Amino acid sequence: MIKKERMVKKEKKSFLMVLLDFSPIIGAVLGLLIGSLFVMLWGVSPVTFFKELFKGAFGSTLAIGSTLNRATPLLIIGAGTAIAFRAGANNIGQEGQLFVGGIAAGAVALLMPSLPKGLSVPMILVVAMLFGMVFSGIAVLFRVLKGVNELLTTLLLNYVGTLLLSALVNGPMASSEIVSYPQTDTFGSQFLLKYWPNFGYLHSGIFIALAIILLTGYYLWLTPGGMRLRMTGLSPLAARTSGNNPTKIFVWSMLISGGLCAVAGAVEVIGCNDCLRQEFGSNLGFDGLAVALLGNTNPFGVLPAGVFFGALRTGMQAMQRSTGIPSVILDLIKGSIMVFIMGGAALKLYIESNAKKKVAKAGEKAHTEAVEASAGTGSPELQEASQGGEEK
Amino acid sequence: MSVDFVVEFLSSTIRIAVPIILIALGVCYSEKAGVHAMGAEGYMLIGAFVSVVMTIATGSHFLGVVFGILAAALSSAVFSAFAVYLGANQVICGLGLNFIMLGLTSALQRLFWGTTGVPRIEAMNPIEIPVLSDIPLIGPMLFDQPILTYITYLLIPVAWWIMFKSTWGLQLRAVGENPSCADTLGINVARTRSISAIVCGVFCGMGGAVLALQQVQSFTENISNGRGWLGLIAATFGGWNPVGAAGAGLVFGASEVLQLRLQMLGNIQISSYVILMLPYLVALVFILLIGKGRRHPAAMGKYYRKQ
Repeated sequence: MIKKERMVKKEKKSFLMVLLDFSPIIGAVLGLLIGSLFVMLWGVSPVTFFKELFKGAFGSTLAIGSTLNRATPLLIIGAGTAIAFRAGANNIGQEGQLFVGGIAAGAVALLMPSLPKGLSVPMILVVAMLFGMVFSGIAVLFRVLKGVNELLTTLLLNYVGTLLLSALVNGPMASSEIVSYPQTDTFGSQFLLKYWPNFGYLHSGIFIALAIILLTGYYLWLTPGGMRLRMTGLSPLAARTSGNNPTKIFVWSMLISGGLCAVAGAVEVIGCNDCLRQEFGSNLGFDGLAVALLGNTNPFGVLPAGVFFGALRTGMQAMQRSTGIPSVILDLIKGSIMVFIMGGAALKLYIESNAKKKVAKAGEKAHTEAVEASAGTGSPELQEASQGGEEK
Repeated sequence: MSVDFVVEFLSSTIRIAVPIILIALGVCYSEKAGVHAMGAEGYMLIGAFVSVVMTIATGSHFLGVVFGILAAALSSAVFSAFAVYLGANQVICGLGLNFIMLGLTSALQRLFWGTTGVPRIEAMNPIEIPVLSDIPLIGPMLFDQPILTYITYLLIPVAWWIMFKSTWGLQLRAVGENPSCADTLGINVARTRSISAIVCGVFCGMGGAVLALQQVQSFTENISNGRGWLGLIAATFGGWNPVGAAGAGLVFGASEVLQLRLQMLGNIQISSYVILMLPYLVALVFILLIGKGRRHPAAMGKYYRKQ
């Protein structure tokens, strides 16, 4: 009986509602459409736009390699952001945390140049994680001690992180040689990730990213800790009543999230570069945030979303070279995707609550009729009350 | 430390603080009504861009400012359709709006002017107010400024009066604190909120116009460069009170002028990037100092829908 009812409910689902279940995909499609219409100002037809974009991102092994390289830090940031968002923590300081991770990689490689080969990369990752935790820990401290919303502090820390990196690569960490761009000395070869020149310079960071995706996905969905974390995000009150400490979970999720974003920065530095450069990965942080949203704040959803954004960035850069369309249009596409995903999710809730309201109204009406039928004339007060409710 | 230096320092503080103050005023309105103003940076960008384009196209600063404000108001109306009426996540939508505006203005700038950059436009000349500018110290500091600065002086008390003394201001504050209670009193929550969000757009658009026409005298990519966020912090520090927010905006302006002066001195041991960090560090210290004393409006960021 119950099963049958459920089936009936499913059949009733309208086409729009089914569509809205896939709001991240719809958002991505709409964002791309807006971008493709916008490039018509440059005299490029939407069809050419998509063709060039695809060719730029997947057209050759070199293109595929750079798409995946570009996706690597986005996957790690996306997974880290997903943990924070699932816990209800608004970490939007990915950009700053990323640069701090890069600084950590530079510090390890330049201060401990004699580390043996097996230890060097793990050391960098661990130190980056710690640096990121400390950096996002500032925002956590502000929140826990002073009740300041982490939105403001993480945002400000983005600027602090960016300028800290610039100050270091122009000052104490600056290269001893004369270079055209602010950067550090070249790292020792044992600190750099292995890469494959005949497969588009793909570096092994992608495996680190995949491992992090698997670990965070396992943690969020298959461990008690992950369940508590998600519960806190959905309802801090429910989490508290069932014996959890929302503050503790907030602190934990922010620290892990900041740590992972920093790891992304370190991987980017030792994978795509051979030294620490000023603003080595600007835009990566907010791209990662969009990736987390596009992946429905689920590490396994982050995987395709990260590759999508990696392809978008690589494709747009290739297009800028071939057709002269500025790659900043990507910001327009990214922003539209964010707005449309959120709009779709909200529209779904809106329609659902409309339906609920209808059911409630029908119930109220039936109740009023039943009261009237059973009590005949009934007490005037009761009738008035129920009528009042109906009007509302 | 001569008197001239102090006067010069303070008058440039006011000049630089004006856009931040305008944004802070706008943010006060939006957030007091319960709507996160994360899109301030984006409104500022589009306001600056459109005002520059229209000033160049029509040759009139006045039309430039008007169209800049209109463009920002339009984008805030779109934002409030998503965030206030539909109930989409205000923070993410605001951030998304910033990216849309950044991409839009940077791309259009390159489409219109290619790689040469936007031409410089004529400055809005400072206007000396006859009697007031003769007052020693304060005169040259306050009353030898371009027209939009004077309008900002007027807007601060007006914004305060509307928020705390008018009926609509009371409704706005009620909607930000307890929307369901306001609703039972017959206030249209969604409309009040979206009007406040649009007011925020108007202020931010004007801030962008001031930045582009009075200060930079041109448009450069990402011209706002974090000023929107500083305005947001200033509003928070001012306790969402227009007068307090303007005061906080002045402090940010002063720290930015200090940073510029320190850079000009040149022979200082500190890295210029550390000096650039100054406004943000000042903001962080601010936040730390105010702490729990500033409780944000209770319903900030919460979607309300009529039952």
